[in-house]
Amino acid sequence: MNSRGHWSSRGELASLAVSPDGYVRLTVAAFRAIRLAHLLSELDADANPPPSRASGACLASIKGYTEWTSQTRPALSLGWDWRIATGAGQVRYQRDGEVRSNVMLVDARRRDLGALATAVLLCAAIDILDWETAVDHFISNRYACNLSNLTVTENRSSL
Amino acid sequence: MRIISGAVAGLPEGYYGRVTHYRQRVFVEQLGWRLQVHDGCETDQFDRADTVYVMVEDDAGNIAGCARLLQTTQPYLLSEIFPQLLNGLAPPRDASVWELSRFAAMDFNARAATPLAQFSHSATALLMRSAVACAAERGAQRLITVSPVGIERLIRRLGLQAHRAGPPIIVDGQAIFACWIEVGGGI
Repeated sequence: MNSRGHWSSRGELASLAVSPDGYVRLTVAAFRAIRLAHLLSELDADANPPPSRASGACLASIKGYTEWTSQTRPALSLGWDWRIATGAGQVRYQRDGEVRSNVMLVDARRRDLGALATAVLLCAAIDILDWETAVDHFISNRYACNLSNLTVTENRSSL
Repeated sequence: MRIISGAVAGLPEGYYGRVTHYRQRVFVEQLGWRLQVHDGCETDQFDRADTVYVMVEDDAGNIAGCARLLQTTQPYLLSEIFPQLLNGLAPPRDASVWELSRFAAMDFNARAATPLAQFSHSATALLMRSAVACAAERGAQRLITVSPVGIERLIRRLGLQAHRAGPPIIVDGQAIFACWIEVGGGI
């Protein structure tokens, strides 16, 4: 774990607290110092499969959501939707929409960056996190279905 | 569709029984939650004289959605049963904060089936907006929910300002969490 924050012997980031409005406020640098762990992922049933003109094959959309959390106290909680994208003979997970969280990012003077700027920055952080492998592993084990044949094509570094 | 809302004493005759029966069908029969059921109705200790109910009734007279509003100045689901969902924050006890629970808009006449079916049909937006408005009329500035995580996606789709209070936990095989909703933010 990166030690840019002020960690206590119990693994708590000293500056972290829940505000009365429910947000955990921290700077971008402090956020990047915290390791996120996969909590759970789920598939969404495909209630409206896209039409396919191919005979003998149907391309169904596979979507779901994933939840990640930190080991800090209070915990950071982030969740986002994903979909499986296909193209050029490859199959990969893609984030679908913005990140939902209890995080409010602040500047160096502890001023809120706002919900919109926070969502943009969290999305950018998620997109360099290797979440796809964990989601694929969890989904494959949970549903024990054809997803086990998926390959994740992008090799990304973790936060 | 029309909205019916109010505390038990202010509801039209028979509607308290209808909404608690609807809750039994949704949460116990369909979602498998382990809740108290008596005579086909799902009720708990938070169904009191001061509890406010919001219902959607479809054009055929069927209950098509429900929600429950509780003042946080009295015991409520989050404070008594799931305080851990607040991520270390003390449960609010504030006249401007109300709890939204037992939110569902399940259409029993439609083909069932997605994990979001609880929130998936056309009554959902009407119910959520009506619940928020009903709470606002009673002085709420913020709502706190205890709900399956799927409600967060619904709230965002409706353009409401909301954010989660902390990580979800698994109860009866379902991920639930607490979520803050700003009353007046985007409705």
